[in-house]
Amino acid sequence: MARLGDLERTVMQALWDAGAPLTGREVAAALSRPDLAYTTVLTVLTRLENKGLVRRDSSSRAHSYAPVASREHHVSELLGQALDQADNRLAALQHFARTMTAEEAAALRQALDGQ
Amino acid sequence: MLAAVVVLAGWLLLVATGLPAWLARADWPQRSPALALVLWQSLGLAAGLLSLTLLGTVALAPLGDDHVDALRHLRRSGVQTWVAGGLALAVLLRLLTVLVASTARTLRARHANRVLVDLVASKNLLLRGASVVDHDVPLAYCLPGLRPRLVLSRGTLDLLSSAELQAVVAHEQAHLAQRHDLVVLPFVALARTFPAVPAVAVAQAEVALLVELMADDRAARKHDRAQLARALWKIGTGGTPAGALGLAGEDVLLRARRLLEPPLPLGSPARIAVVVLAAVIAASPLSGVIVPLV
Repeated sequence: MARLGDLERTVMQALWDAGAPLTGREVAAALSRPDLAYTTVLTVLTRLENKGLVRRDSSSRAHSYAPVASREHHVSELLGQALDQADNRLAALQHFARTMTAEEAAALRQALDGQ
Repeated sequence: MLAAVVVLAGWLLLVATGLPAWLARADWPQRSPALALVLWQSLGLAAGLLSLTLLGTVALAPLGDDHVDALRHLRRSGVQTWVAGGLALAVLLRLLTVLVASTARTLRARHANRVLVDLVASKNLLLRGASVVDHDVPLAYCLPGLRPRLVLSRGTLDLLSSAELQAVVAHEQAHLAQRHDLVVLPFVALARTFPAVPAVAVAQAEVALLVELMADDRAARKHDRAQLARALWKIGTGGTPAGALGLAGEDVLLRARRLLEPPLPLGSPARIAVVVLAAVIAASPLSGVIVPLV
């Protein structure tokens, strides 16, 4: 499973780097991984499409694939989820620490310096 | 019947208000957080079961002298039995449906986040396979579950020293290893079922704090407590957009102070007393079924 996850990242990176829709063959070529079968690349692309990360254009005979959003968009989406109070209150994520007020920070600084 | 109802209602009131208030105010949970957690769990369980027992008693009282007798004469059910029995069923259904819905919502949020983490974060093998997101905002959290993820950001890696970072990783790993998410889950569901009951909100906040203390203690077994406290300070003041992480809790300060000056765990007699109290509370709803309906 972990390997498939890594493949998904690699394929997404290839699509982001290309900057234009790629066909399955073009993705396979861009990966420069001769060990990967073309069908494997297609499987990964289908999985990415099912996850809503990749859009398939079926207008031409060779289907082409494009990322739904930029990498930066997904990073900020991740951040939005991670910092979303409602989801955290549902205990979906367990954060190490929360933001302190100035008073709390000062009090703790004092305690740390006293060590 | 009146005596049984009065006793049950009084005990329910104590379990649902008095005892939680006492436990939330007490100092000893900081010393032995795992024991305090067991007590919260028994209070939560007992409060839920007692409300059902109470309604059941009201429902069955007109039908016989004890529960077995009353159940034999269910055909004689009148308005009181129907209303109280229906209410008991409604409470039970509501508890179960909210628990399922709340769990589903949590799992969905986690899954959505894990997809993004796997997409944009790179695995750092030096940090126990933590997923590192390339962003300035300091992040350090875990996604519990069957395929857990420990998520850090470049901001966190820049902010913390290597020793502090290892301590934070150990803290998050403790959450994952001890499945603290499963401990918190029913209390979240309870808080969503009874949003207007203050004791429920208190219980949820206390349980959330206790699992943090337990993760701190676990991390402190192999890492310096002061490093962990320093990491708390650095991440707590580390340039997160104002208000983004919401309510700054006094819990961060409490945790740091506790790390710097660790309190002694409870002694054996006190530990035994807490365990016995938890057992008595958890078993108490049963007594409502055993005693006569007089």
